[in-house]
Amino acid sequence: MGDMSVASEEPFRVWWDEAAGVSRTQWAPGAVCGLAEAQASVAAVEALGHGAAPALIDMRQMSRIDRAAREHFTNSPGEVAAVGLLVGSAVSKMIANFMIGMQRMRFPVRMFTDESAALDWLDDHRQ
Amino acid sequence: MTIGNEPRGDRIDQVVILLSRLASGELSARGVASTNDDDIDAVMAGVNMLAEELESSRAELEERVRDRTAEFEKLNHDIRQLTELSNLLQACETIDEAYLVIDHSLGVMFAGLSGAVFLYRASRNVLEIKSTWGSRAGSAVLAPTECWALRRGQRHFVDADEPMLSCRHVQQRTGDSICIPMSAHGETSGLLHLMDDRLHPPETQVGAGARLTQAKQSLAVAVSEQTALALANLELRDKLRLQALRDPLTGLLNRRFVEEWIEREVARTDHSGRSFGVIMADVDHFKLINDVHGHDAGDKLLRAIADAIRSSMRAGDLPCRYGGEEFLVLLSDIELPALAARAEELRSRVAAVRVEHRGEPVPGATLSAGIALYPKHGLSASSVIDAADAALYAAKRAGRDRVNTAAVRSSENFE
Repeated sequence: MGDMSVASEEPFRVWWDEAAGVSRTQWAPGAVCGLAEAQASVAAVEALGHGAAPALIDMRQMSRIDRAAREHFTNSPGEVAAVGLLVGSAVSKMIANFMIGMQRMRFPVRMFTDESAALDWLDDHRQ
Repeated sequence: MTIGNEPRGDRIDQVVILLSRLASGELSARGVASTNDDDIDAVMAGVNMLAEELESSRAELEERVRDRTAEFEKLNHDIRQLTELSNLLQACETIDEAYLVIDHSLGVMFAGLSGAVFLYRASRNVLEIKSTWGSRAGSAVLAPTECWALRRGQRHFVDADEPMLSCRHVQQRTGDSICIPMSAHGETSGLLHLMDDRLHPPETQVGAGARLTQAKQSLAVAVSEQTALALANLELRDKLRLQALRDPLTGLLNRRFVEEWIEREVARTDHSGRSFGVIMADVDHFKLINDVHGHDAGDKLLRAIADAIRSSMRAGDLPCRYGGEEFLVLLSDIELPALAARAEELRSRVAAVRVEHRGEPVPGATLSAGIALYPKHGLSASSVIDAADAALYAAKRAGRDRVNTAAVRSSENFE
């Protein structure tokens, strides 16, 4: 693992994975993502300072994401090369599928259940 | 709140109940997930997210409907104002009345904007301001070359942020502006100019802060068309009215005008207690000139006599061709000695008239005239003309080329 940015109050942690060359966001078990959390996580990724890098978001244990948060992920002006959504539970799959299906993302987004497959795909989207 | 150990059937019922509430239009309804994180929770999460989307879409649609309704209300308001302007302009009898209507109506319609209406002078080399409102600063006249809209024959909008091709007549730019040529019947009669104050909004002016929106620009175009058409129609009406009251051969006023004027003048004189005078004049032996030299020569002589009569008039005198070779002059606020002097001057000027026809001199003409004063020689419009006419024929009988005063009315005139 490389440099890490963790906000202890937040239901997620963000760090830079030097080996994979991706930013990582891991949502805590039962995490509820509202607008404030969405803004904080995007800001934390930007604060890593790697520009338009690929991003891996581990939402396997996220329980809910509200509409304002989904809108923020879609419309936030932050730069990102591609986003891999790592899912596990039925609920996280539903959330990921909904985001990919309903929102018009400005960058490539794909859902994975296997972390290494996600990293391989993100590697192909490095700018 | 999450629910842990409810039976599966109850949880499916909850999903069904949620769907029923949403289907009935209760888009704020949400389901509560359990801690199982299973397929039913996934369905519940999906339904909740769909409900959020539907609720948001409905709110967005309602906002758009509100916005659109406000737009329609504004449009409706503009159309009502435009109709009101059109009705007022159609009711105008004179161009000066139309200017008053324009001044009032455009100030109301474009409240918060500065503006002006310019119209071409008769010479058509400059336009002069006829109406202005708001805090417009600028000259009262402009040359057509100072305005891009007039030069191009189409509306010209200038964005205050990029004031390229700003018209030279705009001396102080306070915001966005538009110039619209006022055209009707294929001819440009003037210019409507509007400007907002978004660069320098005044702090206290009532109605300030209006913007030159697309809707305002469209309204301005419609106003420009309506106004130009109304002004053109009034000008045409004036022209036709003038033509109907003018004698085409001499350019003098005609008998119809005399009849209209004299009735009004009788009423005015009765009110003021003053007098007006009538000179009834007839060219002596005119038939002979027609018979010997032809009608063209006769017409030429009549035009020259009309010019002589016109040149002997003073401001306010109204010379008319009453018929054939008969002329009548109406003179307001005059007494008998002055009336007699004017008639004598008229006679002597006509006696000096000389014309040629086809290179040959036409014999000079003399004039006999009868004068009468209202109310001294007649108590009605027709009786005073009759009195002047009688005096004229007395002058003819007395040898022509002279002025004769009407006899003072007898007691029979009092009816």
